[in-house]
Amino acid sequence: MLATTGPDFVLALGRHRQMAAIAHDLLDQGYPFLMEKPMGINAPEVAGVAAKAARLNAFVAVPLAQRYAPFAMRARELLAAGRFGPLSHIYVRINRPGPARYPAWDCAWMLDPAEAGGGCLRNLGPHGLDMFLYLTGEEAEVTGAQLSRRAHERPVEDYASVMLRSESGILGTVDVGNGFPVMALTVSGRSPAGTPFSP
Amino acid sequence: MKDGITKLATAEGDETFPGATVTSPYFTALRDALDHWGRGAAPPISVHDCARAVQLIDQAYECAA
Repeated sequence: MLATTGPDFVLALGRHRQMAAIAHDLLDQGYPFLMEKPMGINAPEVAGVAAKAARLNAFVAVPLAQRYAPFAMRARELLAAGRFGPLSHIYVRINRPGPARYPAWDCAWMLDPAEAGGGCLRNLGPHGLDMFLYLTGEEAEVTGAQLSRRAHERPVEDYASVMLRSESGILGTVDVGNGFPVMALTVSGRSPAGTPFSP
Repeated sequence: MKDGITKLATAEGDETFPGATVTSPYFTALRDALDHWGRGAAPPISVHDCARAVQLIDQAYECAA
């Protein structure tokens, strides 16, 4: 299809299991592209794409769109203005509708661990974890995590709670799920006057 | 932010900001990426950002196992 159409730019989607191979094909053929997250079924696959993109100085964008949401933009403004003082913790919850939507969209593979690489953590986790990295501007490591399949009893998790800590000690909690269409994000710190502070 | 409302809570009181977004963040993300590509700039959010988040996801799966 690429040879036939010769696009200037590619918007790349696909099953998670296929995404890294698609990305390598596009890189090998010299196409700039934007690919939906998670770009693979595990970290080594995505790291392989990132390494090749760096080596080729290629344009590989990812629409981690929550960065453009009003909360993120407001939080970045407040952080830049120093309004939080020492940042204490960040809480992100992204809870999307249940898994029945996937077969309805002809995407039942999203409930297959081999095809999807996991459930809501693999699919929604990039948004919440990227938000933590984006707002702190630091590297981080996971300090705890729990998964559950109790709500929908599918082969992949329908809820995940991840705790993490940044290099300087900012704590994060990222909850993702396929339970209810509710979304909440919180950043907390301390004002210069010493009082707790959060948007 | 909760239910589309951003609230700023300080010692001086609460301030509520309108949370409605006229432009979808996904549309904005796509437009921003294309704008960057069009002017020869690096992606605003790149595979390297995704890789950092996915690394944490793998850590979480390992931790929860």
